[in-house]
Amino acid sequence: MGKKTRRRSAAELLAGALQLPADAVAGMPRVELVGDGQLRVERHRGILAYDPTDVHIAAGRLTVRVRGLGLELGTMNRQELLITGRIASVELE
Amino acid sequence: MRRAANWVRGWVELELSGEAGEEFFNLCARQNLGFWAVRKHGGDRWTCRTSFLTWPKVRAAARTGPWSVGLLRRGGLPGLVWRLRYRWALLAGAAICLAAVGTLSRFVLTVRVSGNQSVPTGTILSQLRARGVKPGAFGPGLDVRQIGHEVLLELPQLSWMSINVRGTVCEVLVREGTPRPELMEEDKPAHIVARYPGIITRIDVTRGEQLVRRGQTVAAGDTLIGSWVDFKEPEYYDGDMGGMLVRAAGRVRARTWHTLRAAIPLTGDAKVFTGRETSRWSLEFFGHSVKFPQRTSISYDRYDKIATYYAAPFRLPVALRRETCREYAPQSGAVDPQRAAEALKGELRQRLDALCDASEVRRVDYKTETREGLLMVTLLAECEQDIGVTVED
Repeated sequence: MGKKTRRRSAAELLAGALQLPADAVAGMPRVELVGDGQLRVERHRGILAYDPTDVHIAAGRLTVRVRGLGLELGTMNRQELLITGRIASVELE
Repeated sequence: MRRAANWVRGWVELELSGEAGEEFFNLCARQNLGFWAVRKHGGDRWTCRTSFLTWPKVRAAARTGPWSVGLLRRGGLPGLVWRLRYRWALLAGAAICLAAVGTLSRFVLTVRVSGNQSVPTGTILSQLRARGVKPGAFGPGLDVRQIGHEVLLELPQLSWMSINVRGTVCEVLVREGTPRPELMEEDKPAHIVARYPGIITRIDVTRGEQLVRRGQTVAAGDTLIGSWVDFKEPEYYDGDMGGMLVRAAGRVRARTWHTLRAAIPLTGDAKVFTGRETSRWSLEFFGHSVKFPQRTSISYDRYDKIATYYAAPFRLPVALRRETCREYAPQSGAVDPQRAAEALKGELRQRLDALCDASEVRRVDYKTETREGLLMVTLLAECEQDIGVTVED
């Protein structure tokens, strides 16, 4: 069975129709991966689980799952957080 | 720069224990309490770093949940101060050192003068020194504007002065004034007379009555161009038309001959050092001299005093001064005639250059002779030069 498709919000649909950046219009999280050493998440909602090999980040209607080795929460504040270490994969759930 | 700013702000390393540590970090993030270097050490034990000022808020946040936080270590400048809080002597030494650097750097160590061309730097420095601008002066205590005004009044050759004290350097910028030209009084009658005797080679009269002709020999003081212009009477007119007084102007060139003499005795006294000398040491500090305890009297009748300064390779107002008194005895000796003659020729040539430009000199001859113990040098020069000079009636 395939994964359940997430329903898009009205704001997302509107941003898509008007070709506007969804992170600015709909408040969607912005995930930025730099090589395999840094992952920056803006507009996060906190950490759900933290382990040096697996980090789960709440990002509104999404959950960002980062897997890798020696993962470390480099910095974190209300707006953004930074994961450093050897990142093997990033999954959205 | 950022790291330096963070170091000054300081940081603390925390140890967190308790269930669901992630929730603690989410709570801190919601309260905008930043942290970094979060590590999970297995089980429910975490470590992280936060800024020095945030630490009390993080501790308060931990009390709202099932967490306990402990301080592992302090870093940065506040941490350094915290570690050294019982080392009073070290802290006092650092504070005194900072205060000494801050205070001593306000004293003037160097005075630099620039922008002067004809006024000697020493003259300007001595005027400044008389008003307190010298090595050792306290910079903020100098009223540079007032001092600048006073020095300008004392030195009328200067038209502008700016004194800038930057740290230990006092920069003095000056501008020299342009001398006021001598105004000619056109209304006052004047002749043009000969400065030197000679044979006229050319005469151009701009104003006045020409009294000499080309090829004529004139003596010094002879009038060349007169101030009285006589109006010519018309033919068949018996009366006198009179004339008018003017300020004579024109250029008169002539061949001139100059004879200059100089003499020097063929014997003279010379210094012969006996080899005996005495040295005295002193310390020069901010323009003051501190003499070391030693014998001060000099038993020599005749001696030369030679001062030598031993200073650091970098500029400091401190130096060791060695004053050497070297005994000599006067001894008569013969003067080298050739060298003496060369010196006299140089002196005579300088005197000739003061009489006329080098380009006007046509020929120069020297005659050397010895007479009555004197070496005499005579310069014979032929020139072509302007000889006219204005003399008012």
